[in-house]
Amino acid sequence: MKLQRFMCLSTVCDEASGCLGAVVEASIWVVIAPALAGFIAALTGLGGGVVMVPALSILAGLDIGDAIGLSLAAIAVNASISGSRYIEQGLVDYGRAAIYASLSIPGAYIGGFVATRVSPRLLEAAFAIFLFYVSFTIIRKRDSSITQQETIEGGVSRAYSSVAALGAGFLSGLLGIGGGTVIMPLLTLAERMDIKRAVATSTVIVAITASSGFAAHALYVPYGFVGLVALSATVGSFIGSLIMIGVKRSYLKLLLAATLLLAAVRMLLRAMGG
Amino acid sequence: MGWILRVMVLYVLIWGTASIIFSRVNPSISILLSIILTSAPAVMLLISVKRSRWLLLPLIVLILTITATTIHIIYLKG
Repeated sequence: MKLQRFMCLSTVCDEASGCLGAVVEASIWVVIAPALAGFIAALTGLGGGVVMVPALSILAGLDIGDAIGLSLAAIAVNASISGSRYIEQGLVDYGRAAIYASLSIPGAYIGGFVATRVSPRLLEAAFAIFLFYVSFTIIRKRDSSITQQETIEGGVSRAYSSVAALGAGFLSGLLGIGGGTVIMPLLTLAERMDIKRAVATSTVIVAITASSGFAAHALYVPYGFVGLVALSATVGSFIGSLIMIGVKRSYLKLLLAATLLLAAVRMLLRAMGG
Repeated sequence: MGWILRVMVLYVLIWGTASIIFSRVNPSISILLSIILTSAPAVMLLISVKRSRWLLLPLIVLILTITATTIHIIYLKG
């Protein structure tokens, strides 16, 4: 079966000579991969960027930098729809969302700026390490439900929370993830927020952070794919949210962890020149 | 589905579709359409700001970031 090739222009901008057009090719996986990532994220409650970046990079054959930029676009769009729903339901802590989002915006922009300047191999290695961490965390906590809540005795200082929010933004812009991996523990452990409220508040923060991270990638991302990837991820997420009731999450999480581990190994080998 | 969610879904559908169409027809404005699409969180904040004035803070920071990027792109594209 002949795979349809998608092509679009990518803007490669150079301060001296302006913007040059480069044709970027990708397989039909540029549509399937984001839909799959959104679907899995909705089903497992885990971040879409963690699945989307390796899916776009390995399956769709995109450069890791392009995959990160496109992932941020999809997260910004998808999370803003989810965030709107939470705002309507009155679940968002607006004060904390505003403060953490305002801190993560510059972090995300800096992270995105760094991502567009470092070598793709370094990015692949960094993402592979992150995937190992996520996989082991999923395996360790696969049976925990969303209602379980941990706290830190005495909480953490505001200075630490602020630095963590900046760091979450930086990771988001650098790796193309939402930043929820840092934001959620911050809200539940440091702010002692109720889990449902934390998820809602985190979603709003993630949407804003991803938008800022994408802005840093905007000059380099294959913009012809942005609409495709964003809409595919949103549709996949919607379908996943429809069927997630009644699905045994712990098995899904184990399967996801195994897949992410394989992706991590593949990306690490590619980073090492294998 | 409340009106905030309806507005956001319509926003994403309209600009996402426009971005896909114009990437084939007129690629030079596709980059601006991509930025408009990924500014969805700013729109979410704008239409929700009545619920809490706190949301003005990230809204202003985000608008400044997106505006600076857009100006930079327009300047580079000439």
